[in-house]
Amino acid sequence: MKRLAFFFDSSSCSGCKTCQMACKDKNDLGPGQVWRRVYEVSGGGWVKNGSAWRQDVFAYNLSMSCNHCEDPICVNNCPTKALAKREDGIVQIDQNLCIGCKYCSWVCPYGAPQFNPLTGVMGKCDFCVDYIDQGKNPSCVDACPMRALDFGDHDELLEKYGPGEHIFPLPDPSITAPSFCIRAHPGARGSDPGIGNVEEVKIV
Amino acid sequence: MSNRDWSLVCFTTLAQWSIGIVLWFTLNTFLSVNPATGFETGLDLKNPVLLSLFLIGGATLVSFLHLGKPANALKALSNLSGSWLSREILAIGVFSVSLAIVLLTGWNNGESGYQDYLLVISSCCGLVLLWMMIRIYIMPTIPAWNSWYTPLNFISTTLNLGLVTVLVFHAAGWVKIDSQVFNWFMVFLMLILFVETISGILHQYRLQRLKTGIDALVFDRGSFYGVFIFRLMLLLIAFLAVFNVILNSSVVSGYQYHLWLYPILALIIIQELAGRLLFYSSYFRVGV
Repeated sequence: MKRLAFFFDSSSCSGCKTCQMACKDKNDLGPGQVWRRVYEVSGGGWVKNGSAWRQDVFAYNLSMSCNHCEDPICVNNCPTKALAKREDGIVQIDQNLCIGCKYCSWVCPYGAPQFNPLTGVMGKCDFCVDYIDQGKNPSCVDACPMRALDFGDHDELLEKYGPGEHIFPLPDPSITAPSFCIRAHPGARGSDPGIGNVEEVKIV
Repeated sequence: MSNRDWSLVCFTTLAQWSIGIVLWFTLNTFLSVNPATGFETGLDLKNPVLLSLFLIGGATLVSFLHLGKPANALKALSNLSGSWLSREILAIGVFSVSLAIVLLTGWNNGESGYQDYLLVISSCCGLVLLWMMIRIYIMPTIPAWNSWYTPLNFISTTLNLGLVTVLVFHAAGWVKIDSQVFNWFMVFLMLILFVETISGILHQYRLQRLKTGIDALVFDRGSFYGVFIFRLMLLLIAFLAVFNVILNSSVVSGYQYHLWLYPILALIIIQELAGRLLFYSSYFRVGV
């Protein structure tokens, strides 16, 4: 069974948010609806190195959408079965079934499903499934000027880009087995939340 | 916390209140030697089971306010095999029907012999519903809720509100509780208030030490901390008031304890709502 996944190169991302805007444009999303979000993670300070002090400042960007998890906690907990996983691994919402209880947005560690107050139902990244079915790329992937985004079968992405690293502030991947592969920025320091303060992570 | 989450605060509190009433009323039916009631039939406003049905009905209606598309609400029963939310909604229906059966059988023939057993079945349905409600909030991605405190909080709310309501029904002369059972119930009420106070403090201590992800929630100051202190004060006052009733009713003959039970009920309702407000306000998820 195929498992479609996103690849994100944090070392190349300039944080321009073109992916975010391409997603909004493609899906005609209103204010407050951001199915792909760019986070800026920064921190560090001065550290003592022998008798000298050196700076330890880091900053990197993270472009996140739904990760179409292998074990999607949203699908498992949706009371109406509005959320379902396709054969190719894409997690979709049937908005005709959704009751807008928002439970999926509570439990998703990536903040993927978002409530739309105008329609009263949830919405999320669907991998531009209509484009995929036509053999095209998702809009965010094609829009990225830095070519920091890619997509494909999860195993093929791992083969192409190497094992994805789990970087802060992403949650423990064992919770939902997300379908993504990340090339970490040199400044990213693993998954220990202790390396960055919460104030240092924001949606830009 | 968004405005819509207020409906969840009210829904869970009312539903647990409803379950608690049935549990304690059933227990009294078996513990008291002569558990006579002041109502003639099942459909009497003096019947705590009717209040319980009103509460679970009200809770269900309030829960609709949380939904973006209430018209689709029936579809929420579609995932009984995987979703605790689906199971909870089914359990609400079963619990409500069981209460209606208790009331209708009482209405048909007054004191039927099998009513006690129907009450036991209702209590079991209530406990199942309570378990479903707890399970919904035990999620690995929500650290503030994924702890021992969630079941303890829900169970203590159920026991607390249910017990004090049955005691108030007794004070009003609508439900008879033997004096010895009454004393035990008062001691148990004090014990629940004590457990709620200690567990609330320990949970607050735990919250203040959690890393709160990108939401950057603050638990040790601001309005959250203010509501926490307010709730603690209410718990303390309620605890002292219950202690006062226990002390005086054992040494003063003809002590007018019922005058205390009404304000105690009001205090407990407010502190439970404050506790539930804190519970929902503490939401944050791991990750981004």
